[in-house]
Parts: sequence; C-alpha cells; structure tokens
Amino acid sequence: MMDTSGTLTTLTLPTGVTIDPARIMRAAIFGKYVVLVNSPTRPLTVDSEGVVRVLCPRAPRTIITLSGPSAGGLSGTFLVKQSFRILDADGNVIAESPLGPVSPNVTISAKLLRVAGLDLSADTISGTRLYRTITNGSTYLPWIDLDGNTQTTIEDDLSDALLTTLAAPLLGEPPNDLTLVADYKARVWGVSATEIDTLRFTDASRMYAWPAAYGLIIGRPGSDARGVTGIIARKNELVAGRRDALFQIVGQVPSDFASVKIKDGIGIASADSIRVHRDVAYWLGEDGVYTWSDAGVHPISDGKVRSWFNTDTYFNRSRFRYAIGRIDPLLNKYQLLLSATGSSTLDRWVELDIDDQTWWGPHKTADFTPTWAASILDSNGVVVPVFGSSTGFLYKDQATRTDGTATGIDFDVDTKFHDMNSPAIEKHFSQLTLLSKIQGAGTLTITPKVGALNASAGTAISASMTAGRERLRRLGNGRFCQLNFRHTTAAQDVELYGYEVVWHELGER
Amino acid sequence: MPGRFTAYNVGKLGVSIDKTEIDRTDGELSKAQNAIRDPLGVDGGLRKRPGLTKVNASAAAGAIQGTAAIPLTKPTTRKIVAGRYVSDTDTGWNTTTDGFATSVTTGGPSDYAGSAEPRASDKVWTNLANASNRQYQFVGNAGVTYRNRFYYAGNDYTVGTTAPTIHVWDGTRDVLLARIPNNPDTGASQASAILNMIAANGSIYLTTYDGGSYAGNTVKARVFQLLPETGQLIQIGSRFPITPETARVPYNLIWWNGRLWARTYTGGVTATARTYVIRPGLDLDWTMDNLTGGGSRTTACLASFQGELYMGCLNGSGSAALIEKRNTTGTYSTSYTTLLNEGGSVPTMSDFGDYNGYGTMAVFKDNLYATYFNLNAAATNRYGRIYQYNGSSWSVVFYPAANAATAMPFVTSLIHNSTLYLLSAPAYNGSGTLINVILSTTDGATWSDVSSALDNSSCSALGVVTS
Repeated sequence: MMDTSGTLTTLTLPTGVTIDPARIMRAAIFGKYVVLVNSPTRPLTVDSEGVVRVLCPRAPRTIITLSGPSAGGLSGTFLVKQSFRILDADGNVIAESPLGPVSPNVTISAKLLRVAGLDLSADTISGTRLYRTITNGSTYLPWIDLDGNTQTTIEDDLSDALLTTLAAPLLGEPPNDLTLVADYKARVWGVSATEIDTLRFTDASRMYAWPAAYGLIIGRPGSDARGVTGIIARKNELVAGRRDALFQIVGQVPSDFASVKIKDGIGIASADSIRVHRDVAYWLGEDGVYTWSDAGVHPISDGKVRSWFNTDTYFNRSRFRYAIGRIDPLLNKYQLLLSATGSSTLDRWVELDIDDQTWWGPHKTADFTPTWAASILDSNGVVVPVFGSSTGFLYKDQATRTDGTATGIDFDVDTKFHDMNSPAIEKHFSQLTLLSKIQGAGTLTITPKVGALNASAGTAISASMTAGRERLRRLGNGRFCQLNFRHTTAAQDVELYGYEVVWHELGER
Repeated sequence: MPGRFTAYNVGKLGVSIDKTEIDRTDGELSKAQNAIRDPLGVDGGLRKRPGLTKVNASAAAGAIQGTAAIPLTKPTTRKIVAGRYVSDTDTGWNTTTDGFATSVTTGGPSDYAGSAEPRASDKVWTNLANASNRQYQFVGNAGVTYRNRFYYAGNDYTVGTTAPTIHVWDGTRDVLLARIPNNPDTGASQASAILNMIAANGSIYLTTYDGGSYAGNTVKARVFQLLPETGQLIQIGSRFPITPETARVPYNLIWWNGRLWARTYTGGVTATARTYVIRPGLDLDWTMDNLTGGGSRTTACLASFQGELYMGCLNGSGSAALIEKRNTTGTYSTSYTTLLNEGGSVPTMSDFGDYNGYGTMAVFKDNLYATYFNLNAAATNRYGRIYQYNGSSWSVVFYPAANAATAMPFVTSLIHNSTLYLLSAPAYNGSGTLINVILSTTDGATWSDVSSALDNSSCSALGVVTS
C-alpha cells in the first residue's frame, strides 16, 4: 500500500491467500473498504489502515450438537446455526459467513441450552454468531455472539421473548474466482471465472453477502469463451457487456432485476478500459472507443481514428482485452494504454481530449514499460493521474519534459499533406516560417516531404526553439507538402503555435 | 496563383487518419506522438506532453498490476495524547507524534483555556477510594479513542456541585459534548465522577459514581451509553445497586460476546464482586451473571481473550491477587494466582500489600497482557510486573527491580501503530512517591520506558487524535 506521500508499505495477506502477479487486480470501493478481486486467490478487502481481510469467511462446516445439561430458564425445542464474523475495532460487521449446517434439534425443560462442537474458522475472524429458533420455530434469530476463534462450547438460557425479532440476514459466500467487480447502488456486482455468463450481486449494503440466488444471466450462455467482459456503472444505470453486446440491468430489487439487451454489435473488449467521468462512460470496444451517457451509446473514434482500432497498422488488436483506460481530470482526457503492433506489452497510449473530442498519440516512453493506468490522491487530496510500471513504480506527470530523470520525450508529429486546395496542380513551396513559444533552449528538427503522396523525406531543417519566429528554407516543388516535427532532447519543451508557407502554382502537367 | 498558406490550428484538431489526405482539414495531424493540446493557459498550442516522474521512491515488489484508491485516506499525522495533571492550576496534555520516542509537547486544543483537560484523579480518589493511597488502580479509564477523536471525562466541574462533563477533542478543537445527569437521590446534587469509559459496539459506554461511601457499601452508580456523533447519553438499565443486591455497583465495563458486561466493586478490596450483563437496546435491565457461582475480589480490569472473559483482580494484605476468567458456559475459575516468587530473574516480593493486583489488561498480537502492582505491607517496596498469557500459560515478561522507576501501577493501555503503550496511575492526590511512566513494546518481549520527557504527572487518559 502506498500512502499519499508515496511511501510503500507491504501488506500482509490473509493466511492461504496469494497474489497472481500475472493478473490485473480489479477493485470496487464499497464504503470505507476496497474489494479486490482477480489477482488474489480469494476476494479480499483492504481498509485505510492497510489491513487485508478475506471478503467473506468460509462458512462453518460441521454440525453442532445441542443439549441441556445445566439448570436454567429455557424450555422448548430448538435449532441452532453458526456463522463466522469479522468485526472492526468499533464492533461493526465487516463480514459474516453464510450459516453452517443446521444442528439436530433438542428439546429441553428449564435448562441452559448448550451448544457444543462449534466449528473453528480457518480464516482470521473476530468471533462466531449463533442463531437459534424460538421453540418449534423455523426462523433463525441472532442469539449469542462468541468472541474469538477458540471456543467450541457455550450455553445460555435467553428466553424466546428476549430474542431480537430480526431474522438472520441473507448471506452467501462470494465466488472464489471473481474476475470482474463493480459497486452500484449499495451492492457489489461481479463475474467469476467459473460462471462467466452470470452477473452476481450482493445483498444491499453488505459487500460480503452473496446469496446464491442473486445472479443474472447476461446474453446467451456459452456463446463465446469470454462471457461477460465488463461492467459499467453510472449514476443510475448499470450495464454488463459481452464482447459483442451490451445489457442493461433494470429493476429496483433483486426479485425484479433483469438484464435487457440495449446494443447488439457493440460490446466491451477490455474491462480495464472502462472509466466513468462526469457521468459518461468510456471504454474500448473491439472496433473503437465508445461512450455511454444520457444521450446513449456512441462510437467516438469513428471518423477520426477508427483506423487505429480496426487495422493492424498501429496496434496489436489481439491484446485489446488487456487495454487499460485512465481519466486525467486535470487535462480532461481519456487515455488508453495499448500494445503496438507486434508488441506484447502496453507500450503505447492514445488519448481523447474530452473538451474538443480530438485524439492524440500514439504516445510512448523510453523510460519504462507501462502496466497500469489510474488516478490517485496526493497528500493534499488532489487527484494525480499515474501510470504503473513493470519495475514497480508509479509515474505521474511532471512539468519538466523528461521521463524519469534523464530520458528525453520523443515528440514526433506529422502534419497532413497540404495541397493548397489544388491537389492536381504542381506547386512551388517556398520558405517556411515557424511560430513557437520562446523556450530557453532547444532545436526542433523539421523534415519536409514535398512531391506526391508517397514523397520521400527531404533534407531536415533545424529550427531554434528560442526564436519565437523563424524563417526557414524553401521546401521545394510538388503537389503536396507534409512536415514532420521532431524533438527528443530531455528537459526541453516544444510548443508550436503554427507555421506559414509561401507558395505558387507551377501549372498542371 | 501565388499564396501564403497558414496553419495556426495545429494544436486544436488532433489526429485524423480516417479521411483521405485531400479531404483532411489543414491543422489535422497524421500522427501526434507525445504531442498534446495543452489547455492549461496555452490553448491552441501543439505541445510536448509532460514528463513522467516516479511517485514512489522505492519500487514495489513486481509490476504494478492495478491500483485502488482507499476512500478513507489515512491521516498523515496522528498524535498520541496523555492527560496531564500536576495540580488544579497546572493541567493539560502531553502530546507526541512519534510514540514518545524523541519529544513530548505540552498543551492542548487550540482554544485550550484550562477547561479542556481530563478529570483529575483526585475527583475519583477523594470521594470514592476510601482515601487510601494504595488504591491507585481506582483511577479509572477517563478517556477513549473513537474514530480518531478522543472522548474523555472533563475536569471542568466541581464534585457534588456541578455535573461531570464529557469532552471530545479532534486534535484541534475541543468540544464539551455532554454532562452527566443529576444524582437522582438528591436532585440538585450532582454525580461525582465518570469512572471508566470504553468504546464498543459503535458507541461509548461509561460508568459513573453518583455518591455514597465505598467502604460503607453505600455507593450508587449508573451506566450510560454515549452516542459519539450526537453526544446523546442513554442510561443503560437500572441504577446500581440492583435488587436483591444492596451494595455492589459497577466499576469497569467490557463488550464481550455481543453483550455489555460490568464488574462490581465496593465493600472493600476483599468483598466478593459480581458480574452483570445486558444487551443495550434489547434487555430491559441488567442480569446478574454469577449470583450462585463464581465471584471473586474487586476487579480493576477486564479483557476478552480467545473467547473468554478475563478479570484482573485486587486483593487484601497478605493475599495474592488473582486473574479470573469466565468461560462461555458460565463457569468462573482462576486463570492465574500471583506468586511472590515467580522464579528466574523475576524479583521476589517480600509480601502482598493491601490492594495488590492487576491494573489493566490488553490483547496485543495474539497474547493477553496484564499489569500487576504491589506495594508491600510496610510500604517500603514497590513491585511491578507485566504478565503475558498465550492461551495456555502465564509468564512474566517485564519485571523491574523493586522501587525501580518503572515499578508502577499501570492502569491504562493503548494500542497504536502496532505498539502497545501502558500508562501508569498518577500520584495519589497529585503527590506521593509515584511518578508517571509510559511503557511501550512492539513485540511483547522488549519493553521501553518512553516517558523520559513527560513532566512527572498525568491522568489516566491515553488516546490518539488526528491533527
């Protein structure tokens, strides 16, 4: 765990739980806890103190024994069940296991009801809760809380009248292999690796209670090997996606929850690409980036950079499922980590400028290999976008145009092929004038391509970044002219305001 | 046809590769690697993206495969506070942010003006403890930490005249939260003191001393629930003593096995104590748990350990103090009987003095710790020990020489930042031979006196606040 000052603390995992380093960790924030799935071998919770607990203790396994050997004040026929509980320092319930097997009933008269053979949990728990019925009853009511995880016997003669009337809550163990998780309307929602077509959910306000009946089939079971590929939760709407369709969850309570297909042919390629910003969801589908807002589902890469996502020219499309999204709330951007063509690491990222819906990139860095993207809070509570790296570091933006301590940033921009609205006419492209922000140092390399659309690169031009305005050499003759701007020196900034080219027609040949 | 082509929108249109070169707008880019539209004061410029720098100075173990922001940010500074009492005109707090390792500062809330201080021990001793300077363990636990706020019994009242107060200090601001209701026997006369406070079950529970004589078995007392958020006080069950008992009233409390338990005192240190239990909000009144079975000496501290209730008891002159326990089937038994000679290097005590016994217990890293103090009958030797119980056997893990500075009656414990702190009782009536000591341990084996910077007097209030 890293605090807001960047100091790392190694957390202690519950006994028997390990982390698969090859898997992405997925999380949902529920109250003051974070629910972690996918990379742990069991779903976990973490609190702000860094205490890691299992999301739900395993249920008691053994059948307990009832008897009435001691004099007391209780008479009747009773049944008892046991659960394991994890409490916080103030006694609030963090987790409670499902109830264990029912005991054979016992009939006593003016006795203390004794419970023996209580199961001891293999998990770290705070105590056991016993539920019993009233005489000849069938509803289990909270009876006794037993602290610790060492006692196997207890007796009590609390009367039926003094039992609370609130029955045992709905409980259930979460799937052990949850791969997806989301928080929506005071419930945790998730999909397991075993039941890939089923969206499971918890009882309200209890992240640990996953009743077996609380599940919705999403789409056609078995229709593909991926099942549910992502969960999107917005302010008042929840969508589960397969790779090729989107399903909205409707209803207010578990008894009327249902999944309704809202899009066919549009799905979710990567669960980790999903980010919600200002109540608009952004994610990567198999053919581009989509948004879902009150205005509906829309492709936002089509018409501009669709080629990034539906050709093999730019990115390794077989790794779209591993893409990771990030919102930069400072610059108001959605950024997406991807793998370059032929690459098996997340070595590129593109970004959508949400303000004007423009795309930028693909970006890269030579300083580290990104493995994750997210936002964290610094010590002042300010949101800081970060990248995770393969070397165990988080990286944040710095004003200095350097990656790490000394790695230059490869600024590499191609303009369009300018044709001066006369693509068929041969032209002379005269002197280039560049206007830029005056920097303290730096030289920009400008490489023109003048000729046809397949023109070769011409002789590079050096432009000073300290001048502000600089008139450069003539570019040459051709129907088109494209410019490449490149700058790689560390700790030097580049900001271009624009350029001018004087030209005249030579004629149509 | 000559002309001048201008492109001053290169920082606005971004990458566009879905259209043909001819169809594209001037300013649209074919590639914008590491280039961005930077809207922060330079809108319109095509700029190199910001650099990237490490957040964490040391590497995590392996690749970063996910992050999750934990919503409750861990406070960057938590301050341990220990109540301070030298005299009625010299009170306040000792505070530290590093576990008393290097420095202690005195002071208190920003608006501290003499009113925001923990109640002085003499408010308990003078009126309750039979005026015996042996009764150090009866100073009570006058404060508790609940969600990074310190709730404590205030000193801003006059015994018998004005009502005892409860304050909350969040590290910066001190607020008078509640006042104990009048003693119902006399109407206008006030309760005398808050004895013990515990935080449990999402609430704070406390015992009060309403008046009467400890030795004469005429003490009256109540138990209250304090709702920390609102300051509402709710009396729990009837006022003590409860029929058929005529004398015994609760001193300390514990939340154990889903119920609130109270252990009684009064009648002298050798009087048989009782245990009462209630489920706040469900039961109408307290139930006596051990009327027919068990029962033992006056108890100064309680602990829940491995599912059983442990009671640290006191005893009279010549008799060994016991640690008793109640198991889950209601059987009371002795878990440990103090020995004059514990063997090994533990100093042998000359004899058991009056009120020798256990002042506080704490469960720390899977062991139970109990502090023991004995001032021998001749009042010539002070002995202090810390016992450890691992669930199967008791051992002595701290044993200073007789009359050593750390041979003190420790009466308050605090676990903070994986460290157990023990605070000793202050000197009786602000005078006497005792000095204030804070011990700490991170492993239960090595104990450190971290009180060198303290100013020689404190109340039994130890907590943590955020600031």
